Amino acid sequence: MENQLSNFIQKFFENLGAKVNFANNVLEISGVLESFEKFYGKASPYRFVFQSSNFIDGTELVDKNSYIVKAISSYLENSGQTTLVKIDFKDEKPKDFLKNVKFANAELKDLSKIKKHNFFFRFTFHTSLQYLNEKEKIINNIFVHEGKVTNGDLSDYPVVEGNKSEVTIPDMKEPYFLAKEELKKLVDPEIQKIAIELEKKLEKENERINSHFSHATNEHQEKLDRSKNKLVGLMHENDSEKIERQEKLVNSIREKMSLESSEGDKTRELTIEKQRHALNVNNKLFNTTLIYYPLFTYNATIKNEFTKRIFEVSYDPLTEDLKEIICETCGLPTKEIHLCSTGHISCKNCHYYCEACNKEYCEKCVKTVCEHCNKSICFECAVRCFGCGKVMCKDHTRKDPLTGRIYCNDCLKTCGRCNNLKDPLRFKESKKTGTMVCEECFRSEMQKSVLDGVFEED
Amino acid sequence: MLLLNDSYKLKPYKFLKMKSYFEILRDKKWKRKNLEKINLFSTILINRNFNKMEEENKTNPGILINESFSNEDLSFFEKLEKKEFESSELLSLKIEAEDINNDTEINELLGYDLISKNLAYKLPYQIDGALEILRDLNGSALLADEVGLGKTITSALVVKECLVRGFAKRVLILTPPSLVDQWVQEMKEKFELDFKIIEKEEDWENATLAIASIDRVKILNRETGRFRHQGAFDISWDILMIDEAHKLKERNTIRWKFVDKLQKKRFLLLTATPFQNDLLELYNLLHLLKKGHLGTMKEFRKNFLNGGNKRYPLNPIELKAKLSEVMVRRKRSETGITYKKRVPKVISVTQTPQEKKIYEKITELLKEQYFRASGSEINGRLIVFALLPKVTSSVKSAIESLTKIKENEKYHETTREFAEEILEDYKELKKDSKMEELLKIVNSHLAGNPHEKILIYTKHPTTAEYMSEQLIPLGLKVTTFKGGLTREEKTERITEFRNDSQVLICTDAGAEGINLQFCHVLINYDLPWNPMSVEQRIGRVDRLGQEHDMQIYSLATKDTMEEYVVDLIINKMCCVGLVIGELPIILFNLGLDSEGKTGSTKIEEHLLNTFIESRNNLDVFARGIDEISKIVQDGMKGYEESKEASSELLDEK
Repeated sequence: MENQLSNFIQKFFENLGAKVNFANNVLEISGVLESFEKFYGKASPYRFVFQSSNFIDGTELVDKNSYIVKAISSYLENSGQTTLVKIDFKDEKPKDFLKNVKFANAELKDLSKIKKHNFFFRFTFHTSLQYLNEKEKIINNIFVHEGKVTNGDLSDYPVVEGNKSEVTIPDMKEPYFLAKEELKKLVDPEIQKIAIELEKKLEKENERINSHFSHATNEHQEKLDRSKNKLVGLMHENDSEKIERQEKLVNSIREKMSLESSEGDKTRELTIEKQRHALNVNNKLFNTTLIYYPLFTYNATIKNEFTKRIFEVSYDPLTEDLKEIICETCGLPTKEIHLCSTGHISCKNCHYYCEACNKEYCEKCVKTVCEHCNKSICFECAVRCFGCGKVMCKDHTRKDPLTGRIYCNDCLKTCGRCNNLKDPLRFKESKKTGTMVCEECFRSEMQKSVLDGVFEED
Repeated sequence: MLLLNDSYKLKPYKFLKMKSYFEILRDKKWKRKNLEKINLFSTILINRNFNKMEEENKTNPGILINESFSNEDLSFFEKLEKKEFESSELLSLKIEAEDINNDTEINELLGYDLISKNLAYKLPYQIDGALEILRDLNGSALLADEVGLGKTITSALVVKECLVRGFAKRVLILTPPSLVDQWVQEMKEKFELDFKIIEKEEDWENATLAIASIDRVKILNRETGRFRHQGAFDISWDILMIDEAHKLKERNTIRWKFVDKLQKKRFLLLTATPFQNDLLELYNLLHLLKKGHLGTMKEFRKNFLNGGNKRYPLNPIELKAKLSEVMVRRKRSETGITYKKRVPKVISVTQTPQEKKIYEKITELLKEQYFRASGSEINGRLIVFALLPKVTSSVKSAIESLTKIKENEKYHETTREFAEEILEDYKELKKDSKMEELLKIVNSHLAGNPHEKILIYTKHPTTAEYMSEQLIPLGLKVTTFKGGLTREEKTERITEFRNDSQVLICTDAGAEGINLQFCHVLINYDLPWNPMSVEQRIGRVDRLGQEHDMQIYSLATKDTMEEYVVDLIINKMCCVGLVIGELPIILFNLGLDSEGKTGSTKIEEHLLNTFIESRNNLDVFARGIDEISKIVQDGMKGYEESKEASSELLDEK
């Protein structure tokens, strides 16, 4: 204890910036802050010893109940409420944490670092359990990381004082409420343990009170019964004086009974004992430490023959987990990345080929199946017939040169004149043949018919 | 109670017919439990939820658990948002401080160091007593240390400790009326605790540290049967302390009932005499402290009362064992403290013929010539209580009083003329015999030791001035101490007396609560007719730290009533070998310490009534004084006997 005390006092004053010297078993402190001197009520220098054998004139023997210890404790009470701490992870080579990620159809071209931090909280609660004339204190540290209470031990990590310019403060209300709930679970076993002890003591006291009142009631009742019997006896004797005296006695016993053994008194005594044996639990937030650490975050550029994509890849050195790369189609995490030709990232299950153009696409982009030949086709290869509205690959369609509309081969009509497949909406009846011909042929016919009869022989 | 089967659906009691009830009873499905004396329909009403209650009781413990979260936590959010951070080292220190201060049990008094500078002496038995009460007796005990051992300090250490450790917030101290101010002062000066005096019913609101005169707050409205100070019962006191608890020896008193009704978590009863004449007094006290601890009254009588012997128990070992569970008691002999003797010296002052004549004229004035302007006689008691002591105190105070009578038109012309006549006689007075005797005493002591300290008491400020005027021209260093001084001024004057002055002249009002144990010569220039006031005076020097036997001089004019009174009070009450604190107990036992009809104590009233009834006849007065003396002697004898008897029970191992 002496060592602990001397170290504690030494550290405290060093922290205050005072001059501390420990020599010949005397701890000498000078240059103390005026605010502390005023608080303590005594100007420095101070000279403390921690064992009575070392006491000399001009020194003060200090033990854990000494005023200096109490003064320091009081001085510290409103200090250290919030702290900022950094887990100073050294940069990890991104390729090391990306080694488990497979780029199926693209190549990792570039990784550029982004500065990001992740946060979690350590809430230190001070719980005091006061009962009878005893007081227990428990200090609990509760870590809350990403919305969950987690086990925490920072001793294996490179922890340094944080730099507040590096961080933006996240919301702490949710984590705090989570921590409070967790605290209740942690403290409850101790509460129950003490409650059981207290209950035994309370039971003993209640027994005393119940027994006392029960005996008192019985005694009074016996006395009352005897007196009443005597009164009945006296009634026969017809001695009015004695009867009156006995009646008075009976009444006084009744009165005494109600005064000395009333339920109200018993209840009051029991209530007082219950209050005496109450357990007072006071929880107080002792400290909130915001712990931050670098998230190894990079912008990764992947590229294939069709496209390239930049996305964020992040590694959490605390949990030693790569932040999940999410398939942009199904929303599930994936470790095998497929790059869609339009730049989407998808998982193996959501990755498709277009059977028309053979490009790789995610499910979002491979919209449909050709209604003609049932091939899976991408949005580029899929065309809709203007006529029947069916979606099909380009192979089964033709674009009308005149109208520009796309029709499937089934919807296209064969021109009776040119025998080409044309936009069926652009057919007219030939005046010459009466068959349905395409507009071009109809026009051509019309042009020719103008000259009809112009060049006829006589 | 009857246990109900679930399949029965009982109607509300008012609809239940007797027939159905008996049908239920006959049904063997019903289980009968404890039969309690309760109303029939109440029984049934309770039963409806009986099973549910049983279930609940199994899961919920019987104790109260008060759980709270400090609402200061939210201030942390603000600090975080403002990015106000402190170093981790500071946090480590803070946690270490908690570890160092982590005492579950009470092994030492944390509060002692905070106030030790205010206490004149560190007495280990007081600290040990406080620890025993807190640690072994859960803060509730009968503190029955012998007189003079400082129960006030021991019990105040308990209070301070509970406050420092956070066990207590609300403390109530109930004391006799005469001790209220003393307690307030002691708690403030020694323990740095500000107690509020409760006087009116409204004062209970928001009371945390409260002191009240038990006689004031126990007033019962006989019509309603309720106590006037109901507010006291609404508070759950963390500590209730009763000083002079032997005044609670009778269970049928309003005082006892008032205290019994208070809610208290820790309960301290302070008395040097937990019983005196009858063991039932002890029973009543302990019944208040811990009901059932000594059984019912009948059981106590059966187990411990020894036939006709009310003082010595039947089973002393068993009773002592019971007492040791609730009582802390130490004797003076255990503490190593030595007490010095009071050596009384009554100095009989012989008046000159001139002085005698003036004295007779004064008494004639006050008894036969004292009339209002209208011609009606002024109340004799008023004269005796208010005027006579002042007039006979000293020449100067006599002249002052007579001058007031002469100049005041409310008095009859005859009265005023008579007063003027006496004033003329004073102008001719050549000698002040009383003052001469005083000077003799002072000079005799200072001749032997010029550094001797002499304390002179008087009731009247005018007399104090007069003495100062007479002593200073003789080259003596004199300090006066009257009422109305601030605390700083009082401290200054005591320091002056200790370090420099030879003589301190005090009035009763000015000298309350000061400690002068470095002085062992006390002169009562005049004497209050209340022995308690005289005890108070002597108590300034008869304190822990007094290294010499105390010389107590009292001046009394020969062949006057004063002479007999001084003899009674000094030689038969205050200086008969009693330890300080014992005389109040004896007077209490005789019923002489409480307030009389006129506002003075009963003993004082006795003396003054004797004075009035004697009609200036010294022999009659002397016989009256003898009677009072006999009563007091009997009281002392009774006290000694009871002390011996109670010591056999309380002290012998």
